[in-house]
Amino acid sequence: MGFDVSSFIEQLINGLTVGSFYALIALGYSMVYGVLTMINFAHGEIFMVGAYVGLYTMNRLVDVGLYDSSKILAVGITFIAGTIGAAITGVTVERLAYRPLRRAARLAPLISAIGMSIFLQEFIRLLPNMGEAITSISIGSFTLFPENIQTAVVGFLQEFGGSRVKTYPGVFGVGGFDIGDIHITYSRLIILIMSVLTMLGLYFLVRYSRLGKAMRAVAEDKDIASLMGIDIDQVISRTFLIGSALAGIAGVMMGMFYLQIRPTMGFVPGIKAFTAAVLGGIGNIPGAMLGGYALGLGEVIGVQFLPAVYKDIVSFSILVLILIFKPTGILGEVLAEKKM
Amino acid sequence: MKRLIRLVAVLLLTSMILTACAPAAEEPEVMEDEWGLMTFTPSSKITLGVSSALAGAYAVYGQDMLNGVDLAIADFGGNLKGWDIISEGGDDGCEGAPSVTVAEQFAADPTLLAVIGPMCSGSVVPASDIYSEHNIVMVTPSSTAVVVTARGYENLFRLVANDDLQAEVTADFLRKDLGLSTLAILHDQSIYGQGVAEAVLGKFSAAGGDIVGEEGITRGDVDFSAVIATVLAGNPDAIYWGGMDAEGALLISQLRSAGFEGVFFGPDGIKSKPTYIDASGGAAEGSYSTFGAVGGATGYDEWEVKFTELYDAPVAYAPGSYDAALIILQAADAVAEIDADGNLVIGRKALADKIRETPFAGITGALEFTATGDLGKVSITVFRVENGDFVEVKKVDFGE
Repeated sequence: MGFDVSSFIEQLINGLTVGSFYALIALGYSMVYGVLTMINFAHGEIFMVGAYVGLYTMNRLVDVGLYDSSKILAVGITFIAGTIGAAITGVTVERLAYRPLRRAARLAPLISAIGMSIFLQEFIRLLPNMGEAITSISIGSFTLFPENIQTAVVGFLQEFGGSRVKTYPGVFGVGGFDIGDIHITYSRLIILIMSVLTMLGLYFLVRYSRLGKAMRAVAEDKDIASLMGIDIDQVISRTFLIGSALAGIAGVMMGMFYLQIRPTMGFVPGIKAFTAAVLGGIGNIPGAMLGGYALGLGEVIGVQFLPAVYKDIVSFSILVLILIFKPTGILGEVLAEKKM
Repeated sequence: MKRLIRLVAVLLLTSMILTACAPAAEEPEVMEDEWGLMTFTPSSKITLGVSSALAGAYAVYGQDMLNGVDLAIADFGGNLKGWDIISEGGDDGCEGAPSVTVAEQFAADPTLLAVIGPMCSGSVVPASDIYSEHNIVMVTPSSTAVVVTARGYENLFRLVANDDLQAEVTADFLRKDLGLSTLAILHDQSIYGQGVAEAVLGKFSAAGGDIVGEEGITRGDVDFSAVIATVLAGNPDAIYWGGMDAEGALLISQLRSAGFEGVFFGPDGIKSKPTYIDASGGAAEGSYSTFGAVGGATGYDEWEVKFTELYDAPVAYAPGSYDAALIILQAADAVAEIDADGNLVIGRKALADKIRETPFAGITGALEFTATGDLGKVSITVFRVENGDFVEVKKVDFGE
């Protein structure tokens, strides 16, 4: 197999698309690490919840006919719903599972995060079963819930979650255009543009807003920040809100792009995004973006020269090598000075 | 000292005489079994273990199997000679290591009668070592890897054809019926996926076809653009996917959007309407799959209606699990005896032998086992996805 320039460029575009997902998710890891110095291993599951909320919303929009009359509006509402869903989940997880452990040993919140990850995954998977079990509680012949409520609740939960794979409608289609020999699908282009815009927005938010300043201050030194009158808990909570919202955007995007969503979908992207965050320099926001794209490109380039089976070996070897030789990541030094 | 030795010797001798005579005198027809006996006390339940993926990406199959077993227990009457029968699921995640844990848990359960499953060949291979060690009968409704029955275990049965037959039919269909000459192979590196893919590879090149690529992917991955570009560079007429539905649906939709217009073919692992056809967003249209089955099925249509009313439409292995549970229960019913204390006693080898020698008229077909636990007569059906459902296009019978 000779070297083919146009297919190589196509591969680069593939790598950038995958990298966009990694980058969006990696940002959440990195931002949380910045303010809490902990790895939020439930982040992949927050991404998954975003995809589920998005799908539920989209199906309702299909039902009311909005999807057929105005696709762009429907897609927009889906994104907003998924983002809000993920953000609420993220903030709740922080409130329930991490805040009570703020002063605990460093491993405690980490283990709590792994627990939350398993919990969220199984929660979405078992939703219909739980609904059925709870609504069918009866004492003797007296049932707690009337049958119509029971069927309505179970029906809703089955629409929402469950173990079966759920499918997004094919929003983007399979179309594309050609530049010379290079074939680019619209879907990849849309994802690239959307994620770049989202990340630019985040960059300006953190760089120039009051909240951004407060976040950076908390990341720099929690105690001094609180002496300066910054409400630490509120800033941490908002950091989770923003990080989770980005994961929600990625979740809806992934649902629209790959069509299928399932309760376990967050695991692999979560681990890859964690790798990307470490690669870029964890705690560093531009680093997470850079790390995401670098990892996406690294995977496709690696597969050009090695059998495709080695794709994950490439990315995790990168993780190991970075951890050994440059634990601070690509943009690590910046972290020490500016804590951006 | 000498006296002590003499005393011990006398005591030993007496006890030996006693043990030799006593049972013969009191219970002349005590049950014996080369592999040991299972004893269920009057208050005990009888448990049918179901080892399958009950969480994670393939949980839909595991739930389907459990439902099949539950319906079989209900249809059997819920009890065996008065002992209540229950099913118990063990989540093996369709992988090796957890399936061994499940096997050890089941083996430690004194109420266990037999096991239905594991579902995946990757689980069956290591778990069957444990079941065989404890002489526990296992009937898998779905494991197709050639190696499964090639190890001479007498406690193991399966209700599907092995992958050699699936591969033979696939290669023959691609070469002769469709007249294709180049094939690329993709698989998920599992015992099942890689096994069937390499079997197809072997048969396709033996039939004079060219293999223009072979790549593996990782289960649970979602973006296959890199591997797809590599495979399409070989310009294959057809792509064979050795693996499951979840990745299969992603592969076909990504292959189509990458411009691949050839034939996409997969094994029984992708033959699921909700998780392959529906999950591919329409891209699966026109693709092919094989599914092993047995002729002479009785009463399947009525069964499907009943099952759908109780649970949901059967996905893949519910009918097989239903038959597997009934095969076990009927054989157990035939060999079970009640002893003097009112316990239900079942011989382990007697159960396995009974299963092996008794033909069973099931909803999946007229099932007869060979000495290795494989089915004597099987057929492989080729399906094509048309208008969002699997349509039978060819059926090949083996055995007889």
